[in-house]
Amino acid sequence: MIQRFFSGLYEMVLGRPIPANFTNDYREVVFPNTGLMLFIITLGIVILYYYVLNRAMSTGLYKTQHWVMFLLLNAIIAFIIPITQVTGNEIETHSYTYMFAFVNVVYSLILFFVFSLLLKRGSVQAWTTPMKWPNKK
Amino acid sequence: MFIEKIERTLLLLLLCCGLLLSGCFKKQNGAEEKEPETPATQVEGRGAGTPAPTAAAATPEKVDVNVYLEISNGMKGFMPTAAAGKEATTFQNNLLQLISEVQDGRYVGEKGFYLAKEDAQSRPVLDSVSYNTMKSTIVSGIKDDVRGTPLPAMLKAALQKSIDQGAVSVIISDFIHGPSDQGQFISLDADIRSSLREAEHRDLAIAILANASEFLGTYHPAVKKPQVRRSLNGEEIPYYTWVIGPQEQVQVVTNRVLRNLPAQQAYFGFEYENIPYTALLKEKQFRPAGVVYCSSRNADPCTSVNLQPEKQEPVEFTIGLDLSQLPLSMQSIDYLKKNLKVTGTGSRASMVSVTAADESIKATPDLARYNHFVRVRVPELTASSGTIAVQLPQVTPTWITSWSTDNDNNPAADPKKTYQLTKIIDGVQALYRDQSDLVFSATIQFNKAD
Repeated sequence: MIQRFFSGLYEMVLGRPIPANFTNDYREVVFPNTGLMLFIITLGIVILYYYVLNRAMSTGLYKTQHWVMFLLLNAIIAFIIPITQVTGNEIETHSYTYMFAFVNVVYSLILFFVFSLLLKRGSVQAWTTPMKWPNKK
Repeated sequence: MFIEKIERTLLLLLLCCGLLLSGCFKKQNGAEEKEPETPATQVEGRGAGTPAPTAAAATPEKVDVNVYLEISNGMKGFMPTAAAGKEATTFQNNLLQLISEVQDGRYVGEKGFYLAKEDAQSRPVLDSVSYNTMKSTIVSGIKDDVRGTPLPAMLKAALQKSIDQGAVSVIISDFIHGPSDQGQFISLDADIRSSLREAEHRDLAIAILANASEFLGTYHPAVKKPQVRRSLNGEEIPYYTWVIGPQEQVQVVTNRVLRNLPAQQAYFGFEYENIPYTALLKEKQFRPAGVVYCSSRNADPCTSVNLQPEKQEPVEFTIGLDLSQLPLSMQSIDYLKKNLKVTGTGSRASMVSVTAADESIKATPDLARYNHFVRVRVPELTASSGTIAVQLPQVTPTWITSWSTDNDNNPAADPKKTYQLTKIIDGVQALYRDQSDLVFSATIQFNKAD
């Protein structure tokens, strides 16, 4: 179920895995692993930013530029994970691998933004980062 | 104060990141470790994972061998009396090698040596002799005067004796039928068949090896016109070694005891149900083309694939086979190129090439198990699932027709021919009519890729 979801998510944009003989490695291992890690790490960093740094600790990292820093940190992690997954499973690297990493970065940006919108209202210092909408006060 | 705070924050941030990442990677490792188990059990369930051990267990260490040498007058020319300065014939050299290997070789358990002849009533007689007696017969010639060879009767007697003793029969003869009644030539195939009936009933296999040797002396052709006998001086006359017994034991005899086999070999009743094979999809040496991948990620061997040929991009992949159990002549690339067939149900499959393992392949651990590689091309599917099979059909070797003749009266003009050999072989083949038409079949299941 999760395998199908993540395979569908990536193959929707990327198409069938190339080289094709590693299709099952991508579908059964690389896509689900990468997708799950993308969700967990992105959620972790968003929680870290809003609830640890800007609620429990009041570090003063509430400006939009700080938020962008964390967004980029997440994006870098999202670029590295697919490549380590592919090489770690002894799959031949191909331009497909880097396209996959790039798509994962795009997903990480979207996901980070979505999680921010959902979770920022619980933050004390950063509830208006990166912008006030949709919270009203 | 503020700087300290930032420092502490960053440390904490690093720690959190580290924890998160390590947690995730562990999870991935866990998944990797767990996954191989499922496909492995699946393979066992299909029964495809077990051929290697059974094949190893089937090859016996030692076999019992009975050697039967026909000593009718027609054989005398193969074994001329040795004299200083005279070279031994090919027949003498090969036979001496054979019996010494039977006598002293480490692959032979119990052994028996028999001289086959007929009595005054044309009944076959098998004289049990010692190794030394047989050796001196080969070296210094046949002393007895034995008129003819009732071929079917001799085969039957030899086979029965070996079956009683649980031994493999090795029968050496010129296979020139010498019946008391010429009418028996017509029914030669049927007679051969009924004489070897026991072999069929007991699932025995027959290997026939043909060789030619210089012949010095009186030659007795089967066709008595224009001449009843001819005196030959070194012309080549064929002689045959028949090995009859259970398939694995016959192979021990042909590969380990006889060793240097002649080029003319024929095998009957040989069948291999457990040839190890796999689709090779991830090996760098055999890169597949088009959309094809193993249905199960970690299956080893991979006997089920998913594929999707496109018009511009037909699927091509390699199937690795371990044919080391087969007779050596069937392992030769030329033979396989000529006879191997790739057939498909639900697909149009064809063979691109057959190659033998070279040094670099033998050095690759995953590939070293296989010694032949068949490249298969699938340009089109006609159903969403089916099979692709690599098969080796039972074929009658071509040398049999060229070594057969309808008139063997003048061997000098027409050397290396045996009278009605095809008919003799027809009789042998009739034994195995109901058996599978294939020596082996390696079947890969396929599903259309989604």
